[in-house]
Amino acid sequence: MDWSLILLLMLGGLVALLAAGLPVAFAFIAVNLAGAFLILGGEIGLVQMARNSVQSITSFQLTPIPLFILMGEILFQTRVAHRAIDAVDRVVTRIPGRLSIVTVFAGTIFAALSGSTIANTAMLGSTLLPSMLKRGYHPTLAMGPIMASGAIAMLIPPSALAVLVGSLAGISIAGLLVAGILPALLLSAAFVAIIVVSSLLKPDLAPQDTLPPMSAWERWKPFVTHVLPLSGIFVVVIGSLLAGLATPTESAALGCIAAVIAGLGYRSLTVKNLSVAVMETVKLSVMILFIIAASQTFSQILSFSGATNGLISLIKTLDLSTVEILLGMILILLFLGCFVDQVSMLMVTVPVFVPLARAVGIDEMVLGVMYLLTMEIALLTPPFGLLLFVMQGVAPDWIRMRHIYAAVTPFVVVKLLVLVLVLMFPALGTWLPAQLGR
Amino acid sequence: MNGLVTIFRVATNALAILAGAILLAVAIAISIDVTLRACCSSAIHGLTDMTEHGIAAATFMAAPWVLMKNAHVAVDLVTMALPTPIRRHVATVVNLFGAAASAIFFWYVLQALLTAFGRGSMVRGIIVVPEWLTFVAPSLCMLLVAFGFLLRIGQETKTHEAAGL
Repeated sequence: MDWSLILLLMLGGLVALLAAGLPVAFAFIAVNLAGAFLILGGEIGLVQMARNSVQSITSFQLTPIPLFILMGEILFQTRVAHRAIDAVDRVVTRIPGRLSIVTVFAGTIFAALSGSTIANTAMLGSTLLPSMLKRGYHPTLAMGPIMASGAIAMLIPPSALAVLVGSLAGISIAGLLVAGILPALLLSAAFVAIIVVSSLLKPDLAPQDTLPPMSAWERWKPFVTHVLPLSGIFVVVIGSLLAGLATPTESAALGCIAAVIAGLGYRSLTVKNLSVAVMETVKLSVMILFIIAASQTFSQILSFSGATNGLISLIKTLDLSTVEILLGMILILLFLGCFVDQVSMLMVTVPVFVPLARAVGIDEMVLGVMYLLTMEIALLTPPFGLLLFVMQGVAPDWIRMRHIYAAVTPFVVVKLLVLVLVLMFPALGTWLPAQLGR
Repeated sequence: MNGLVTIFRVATNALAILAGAILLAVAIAISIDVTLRACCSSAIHGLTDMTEHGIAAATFMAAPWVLMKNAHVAVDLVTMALPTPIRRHVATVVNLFGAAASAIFFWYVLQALLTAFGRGSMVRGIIVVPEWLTFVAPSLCMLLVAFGFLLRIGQETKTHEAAGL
């Protein structure tokens, strides 16, 4: 069978099943059952598919995913992170669009404690949106920073998705975990700039918003007691990675213990919220790992049938530069991101993108950062970006989807600009990983 | 039938709780291992292998529970745009299809288990594990997943909560 026909049938079948509403993992299983039977040698291929699916998740490399999720869930369920927001609120003063900037800082801090963009956005939205709207902030300036900084969790370690990208694409996981830090900080700085400029140009977007008079210690005490100790968790996770003392799995496990200690320290850890955190972790982790188990054979079928090589050869005949190829990948990921979740995007594209990138000599860390940044943008692109719906879920009823689209658009533009910057200056993504264990 | 459904629900919940316990145990064991390595130049024997097998087993164990929570990632943009009667029909077909795919997959995981058992093959890492043992949780749970899809037939489909990272 011709490779193009196989590619068409595999992708076409997958799209049809997804559109019918079959959960992603089972759509992959169904397509792979047919593909394995036809391409991998009948029943032998089907038994091999079963073995592949178990082996694919019997991997120490994937272990940080549930552990990073658990760490974030413990901090979320014990409301330790919520206290940090109140503390940040007190120290940001005398700046236009104050609460929007608090959102960016709080989002960046929580991103360093949790690997989940959804948890980050939901927490910021439920905590800060009501008070911003109550104080007269325009919905666009209230919601845009929430979604934009909520998505940063994908870039700042501990990012479960960075672990997944590294594991699937064969890129250093420790390297990729720290590679997102500089682009993320650049994004946060750009968000602050947008908020300040918008508030200055259009004062009706953000009212004069000053805190009641208080002493310096009154302002900084919550920060010292509720934010600085949390930086210990970040130090444990990232410090141990950067110093080469722990593997990503070990740093994730230490992060979990540090989160439990933080919860105990603030007397907010109970058996009930710990068990909720564990079961939420099970739900999220299984959702991700089961897709990996179900879809592993997909790439093997494409490879064995010659579809991967055929497609790569076809692209090579077009004589494109590496930047053009990267731009093509970005466009495909952005398109996919309008309809499917990040894990599915990875499972469909990695089998082609990674060999293609290797064939044309694209640096693997640049590819990894490109993946993370693009998937982060894809979470926010109208009409169906995932975080837009998370925002809708926590916003009051009178907020319409068009308000959410309008709010997120300037921040998506900024993210695209930062993505271009990373492509133009790859050191933004590659310099920090190069320092690992030095 | 009701008794069977009750047994199914108890089993899926128990397996999910067991999966959670495995994840928690992994986090604790790895932390102890790092501490032992740092302070006593010692380590837990075979922890990497146990973690790998534990995470794989936990993933399959909790899959039926996640299905019954309607939390497996699905793209419902198209189906939610359909009129309710058509959406119900599509959901029935999709659930039957999911049950069939899971049942076939269960059958071939079982074949992998039986083949490994017959050959007496081993997974050799730092610790040695009979290979058939690694297929026990996947085969059992794929059977439960197939049953879970059948139970979903006729139930009102809800919009998925935002799911992902």
